[in-house]
Parts: sequence; structure tokens; C-alpha cells
Amino acid sequence: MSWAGFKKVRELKTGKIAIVGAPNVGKSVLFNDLTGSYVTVSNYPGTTVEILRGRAKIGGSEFEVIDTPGMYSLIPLSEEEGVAREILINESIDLIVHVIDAKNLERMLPLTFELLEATPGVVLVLNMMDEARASGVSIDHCLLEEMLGIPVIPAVSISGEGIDRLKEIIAKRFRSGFSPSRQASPIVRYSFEDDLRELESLIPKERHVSSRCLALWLLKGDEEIRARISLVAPDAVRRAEAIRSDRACFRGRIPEYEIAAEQRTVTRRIASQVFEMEGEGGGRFFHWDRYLMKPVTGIPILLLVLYFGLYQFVGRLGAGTLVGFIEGTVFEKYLNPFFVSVSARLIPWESLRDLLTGEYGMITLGLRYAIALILPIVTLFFLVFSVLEDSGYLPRLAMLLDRAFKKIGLSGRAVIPMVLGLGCDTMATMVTRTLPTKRERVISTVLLALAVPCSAQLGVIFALLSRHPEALAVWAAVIGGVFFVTGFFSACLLPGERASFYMELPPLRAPKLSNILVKTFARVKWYLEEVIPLFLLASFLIWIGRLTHTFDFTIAALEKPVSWLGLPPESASAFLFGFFRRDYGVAGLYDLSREGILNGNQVLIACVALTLFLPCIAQFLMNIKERGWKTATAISVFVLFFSFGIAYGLNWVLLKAGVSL
Amino acid sequence: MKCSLCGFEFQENEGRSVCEGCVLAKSCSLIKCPRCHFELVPDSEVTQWERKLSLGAIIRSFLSRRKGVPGETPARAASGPSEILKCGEKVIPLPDLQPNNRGKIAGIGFCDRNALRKMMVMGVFPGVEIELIQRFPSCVFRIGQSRFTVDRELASLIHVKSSG
Repeated sequence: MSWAGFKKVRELKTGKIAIVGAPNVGKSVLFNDLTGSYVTVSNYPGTTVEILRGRAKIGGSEFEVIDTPGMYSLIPLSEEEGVAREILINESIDLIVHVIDAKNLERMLPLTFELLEATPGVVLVLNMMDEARASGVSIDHCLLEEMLGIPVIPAVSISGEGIDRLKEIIAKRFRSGFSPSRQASPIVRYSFEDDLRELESLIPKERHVSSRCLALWLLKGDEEIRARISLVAPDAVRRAEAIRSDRACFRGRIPEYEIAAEQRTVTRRIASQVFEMEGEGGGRFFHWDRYLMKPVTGIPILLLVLYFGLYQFVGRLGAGTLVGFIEGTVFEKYLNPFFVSVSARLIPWESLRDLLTGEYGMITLGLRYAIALILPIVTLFFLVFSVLEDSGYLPRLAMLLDRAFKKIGLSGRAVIPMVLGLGCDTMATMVTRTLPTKRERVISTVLLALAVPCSAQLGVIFALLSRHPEALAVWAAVIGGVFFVTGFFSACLLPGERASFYMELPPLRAPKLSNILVKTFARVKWYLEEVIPLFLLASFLIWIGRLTHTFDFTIAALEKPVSWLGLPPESASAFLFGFFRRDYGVAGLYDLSREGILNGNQVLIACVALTLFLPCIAQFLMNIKERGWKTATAISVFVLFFSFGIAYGLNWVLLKAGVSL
Repeated sequence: MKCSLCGFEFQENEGRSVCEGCVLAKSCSLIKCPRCHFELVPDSEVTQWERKLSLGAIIRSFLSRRKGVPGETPARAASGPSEILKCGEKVIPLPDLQPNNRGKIAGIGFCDRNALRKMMVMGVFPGVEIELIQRFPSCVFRIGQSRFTVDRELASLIHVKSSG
């Protein structure tokens, strides 16, 4: 390439910036501050599973910004952390922005060391300075800058404090071609420095990661790195193994832990000089926290949260009042008659009219179910969930329920997808990714598919059964029983080691209204995009079925198994709808019950069957995506037979006992 | 007790005798296997209580009472003979610390790689100060400004030097 060409390439080259840090330190917010687009901001570790890329215009040049999944260390603990490291190794990152929670400086600084060992292009952002100040923390960032040899920026990403300074530094670094400000000498000198130096010299130079860092990873026993380096420098791998086994056998030390411990010693020394704290800390709501965590008070509080948040707010207000208004008044009185009359005037073909505004029409049934029945319920649920999430209540719930969840082969960590599952099982199945072992992921997918009703279902069920409190109690007992019994047996059947539980408890925070609204909006949007096409598709398929008479045939075929459950033949259509979405099925039930076709027992049986019924199409697709088609199909077949079995059993028991609700 | 490395079964005092000559023996609650010299952690007191209260133990003690044979009592944890108190410090598993008490981490017990990493993530390193906040239903402790919750199994791997 000629010099002129080379120069041109340089001019066109844009910088690449990666935002790195532990979960829950405000990386996503900082990403949005830089790029100006919105992504979900979350309070519990591990929501940013996908990698987000955005473009930022800083000082007249354009940069690519990458938001990486949260990580605690460069040696990955989970799949997500592995992804974050892959980005740093494989993509030519010009500048790493390491975001840390300022008040946890001491715990988070070791990752800065690891990053600095890998590449000199690191900027440290001390985020959440407002919280740190509030808990009496002060940090001498100038001294820290001097000690680390990299720019250190105190910031509050939510309010935008410190962002200008970060942009300034990025622009400055870009102008100097991202050459490091100084040739950094290693901050941490290890007790086995000689061995390390020797190993370093055996490893050929890499473009993005320093040899010292690779040598350290080898010593820590990282499998992936070992496989990679053994291709280019088998000597280094052999030497590293020798050093490892020497230290492990003769000195009883595990290099990985030793390295971390020595880094920690250095951190403590640095922190003792730059970090000062007055008072006890622990946030504004420190005193309330005790009551949330003690089981004696925590469990009553949990029940109150469930009663007010779920039953009163989502069930009574959402599924009762709001649905009644939108469905009964807006749709029945105004919209449906309007659409019917418009289509009667404009569309001459009866079959097409049927598709849009018939009994199962796209507008009169599909849109009505989606907007009038499901939307208000789901919106209210996500509102409650966002409040719980942002206040930091969920980790406390995880702690309270860990012991119970251990019995069903899960750990407290699985509480979060389970609670989210009460909103939308599809979304929750996606979140099971954050669980550490495959066994836990499979168990929670089964439970989500079977025994966790989503908010749309819940809302309609609350509305249906609120007139029969005994039936509601029986329903809750049956579903709860199925949840624990299925979990218990799948834990016995599935191989794998016991789940172990650890989780950080973030301080309790007062949730910010704007954050909650934005989050709820993002989730509702995701949900509607998922749901409306499916509802319309269902209407369309039913229309085709009716034209070709397969619809009547399927209903006739379903009438038999439905009658075994002691249900009237009309409810067969609700089950057929249930194949599309479980909530769609329950919504069909809602219509039937309003027409007075079902008695108390039948409503209860149908509710139990449809709660346990097949996962909706979206969840089935998500199961395939997350667990593979074999597991997904197996789960669906099991769920189909099991749900009918339980409903049949319940009906038999009710008949024998002569109970009528 | 039984060595978790080689499976050798031995009495606790046999294990203690291996440590004779070690300067740290007095303030150390770890027990060495007489066969392979692997260091074992005695069960925490809470774990022992749990074992006593577990269904199996209740049935066993019930059966043995009916037979007129004294029930099998689980081995007592080496909370240490009185001379340990003389130097003012002892090493105990974290769940044995009283809630709202502090201690310095002495080390961590033998565990697999995953547990080790979790310890590293939480900042459980020798010499770091740790405060136990509560131990039921799960252990909650504080290191620096962060609070963590762990289950009993992980918590008993953390050995804490406590005074008194």
C-alpha cells in the first residue's frame, strides 16, 4: 500500500470503545449517555445479556461503542462473562471504559488491574458517586489517577455528571491515535514474578492482549486460553502446567486464588490512601432492610406484596376494573359496532368480512383480546415488577426463598425468572440464561412451561374466580402443589450437582419514576410486538379452518377429552385457542363464563387445566431457542398430558367429594 | 470423622495428634487426616444441629431408643479446648459466628473451582474483615461496603478468625 493510501485508511478509521464492568454498576445508562439510544436499565445482575452496539459522535468524530455483559473478572465464570472477554480479545478495541460502583472501589479495582495487564488503553469511571457521597464516601480521584497512571473520572451516569469529561478524554485519546499516555509498569508485582517473566518470554506477541496477561491466564489455568496458546507456543503451556503443579503440590497454593489475593492486597493498599468513609453506610433504607431479610417479618411482607401488588393491583384493578371498562365500554359499545358497520358497508365479500369482523375476526377477536384483555393486565404487572426490581427487593426475596428452592433443585437465583414468569413466561424463559448450571436452567424451563401462570392468565383467572373465593384457594393450592411436586421430581431425575447460591444484596433504593416508566414501556412494547402478530395469526388460522371446515372438525375432536373433564362442549374452543396462547385460552373462558355457560366447578377445572396447559407458541419457540428442540418438544408433550391428567384427577376428586363451588 | 480426600475414617483426637509440633496448632481448628494429611474442616455447630434435627437422625434416634441402644451422637465440632481461648482467637466456620459480629477471614476450606471463583468474586480473601449479619434462612454477610447472601454450604467454607 502506498503512503497516500495508508494515510487515507487512517483518516477513515474510527475508534472502538468497549464499556466494561461488573453487573449493576450503570454500564447500560452510560452507554445510552454516550450513544443516545435507549436500552433496558436493570437493577439485578445479568440482564444485559445481548451485546449492544451503538454509534457515538464525540468531538467531531464517530466512534463505535460496545456495551458488554457484566463481568467480575477476566476469567469467565459464566457464558456471559466469556462473551465479554471474547470481545476484548477478538475485536480491536481502542479504549476500554471500565465502570465501577464508586463505593465498592476496593472490590472492583482488581478488574481494572486485570484490564491494565491486558492493554494500557483503559479509562476508569467511578460511577454512582451520588450514592457514594450519600453514604459518606469520599474518593481522592486525582491521587488514584496518579497511582494507576490512567484517567479516573467521577461520574453519576443517571444524571449525566462526568460524561463531558469522559467524552473529552475519548476525543483527546483519539487525536493521539490511542497511544497510551505512558508505558505503564505493572501495578501488581506478584510473589512469583520470576516465573511469570519467564513464561511471558515464551509467549509470542499478540495484537490486542499483552503477553503478561496471557501468561497470567495460563497460570490461572484457563482452559480456553490454554487451548489457543498450545497451537502457537506449546512450550509456554507446558511450563505453565509445571509451575501450577509445583505450586499446588509442594506449597499447597492455588495460583488462581493466590493471584486474586495478591491483587486484593494491592487494592487494599491503594484504597486505604484514596478512599475515606464516614459512618456505617448501607443506604437510606438500611433500617428497613432488616425486616425484609428476617423470615419472621420478611414472609408476611412477601405475602403483603403478593396480595397488594398481584391480587389487588393486577387482578382487581387491572383485570377487573380496567378490563371491564376497555372491554365492556370501549370495545363492545363503540369500537366493535363501528368496525362491523364499516366493514358491512365497504366489504362486499362475506368471507373477507368474516376474517376482519366476524365472530373470530382479526379485529373483533384478535385485537380485542390483545388490547382490551391482555394489555392492561400486563402493563400493570410490569409496572409492579419494575418497582420491585429497582427497589432491590428481588435479591432479598431470593435470599428468603433459597432454602425452599433448593428442595426443587434450584437456587434462590431462580426466584427472579419465576417472579418474572408471573408476568410473561416467554420473557422469563429468556432470563433463565442467567442461571449458572444447565440443570437449573432445564428445571426452571419446565416449571415455567407448566406451573407458572403468566400475568394475562393470572389476571383473567382472578377475574373469573374472584366470585368464588373457595375455588380460587383450591386453584392456588393445586398450582402450588404441582409447582413443588414437579420441581421435586425433576430435581430427583435430572443428573448434575446441587445448585449453590450466592448473590449480592444491593442497598435498597427508592425507585425512580422515570426509570420505572421507561422500563415498563420497553417491556410492554416487547410484549405487544410478540403478542399482536400471534393473536392476528390465530384469528387468521381459525378463519382458514372455518372456510375449510377443519376448525369445526378440531373442535369436535376436542369435545371428547374436554367432556372427560366434566366441561361443556362449548369450552373446546377455549382449549383450541389455548394452543396459540395460554392467556388466549383463558380469555375465551372469560367470554364463556360471562355468558353463564360454566358453573363454579367447571370454571375451576378449566382454569386449572388451562393454567397448566401447553406453553404458548412464543414460549415454545423460546424453549427451542434456549434449550434445543428435543428438550422443548419433550417439555410440551409432558405438559399436555400432565395438565389434562391433573384436571381430570381434580374433577374426579370434586365429584367423589360431592363438592360444588 | 471421615477424610473427604482419601476416605480414611478416624477419631478427631487422632487427627489432632498429627498436628503436634505445628506452632499454629493451638489456634487452628482444622483437623488433618492421619493417613494423607489433608486438612479437614470440622462441621459448623449449626450444621450439626441441622443434622440432629433432620428426619433421618430423628428416626435413627427413635429406633435406637426402642432398642435400648444409645443414639448415635454426631461428632462435636472442634470449637477447641480451653487453651485456644488463652491466645484469644479461634478459627471457626462463618455460620458459627454470632450475628452482628466481625471476624477476619483466616482462609477457605477445600472446595471446587466454581466455589473458589465465587469466593473471589465476593472478595473472600485471607485477612479481609467480614461481618455476619444473619444466618437464617440464608447467611448474609458484609465485606467492605457490599453485602452478600450465600447458602449454608458455601458459608461453612469460609473460615473466620474470631476473638472470644
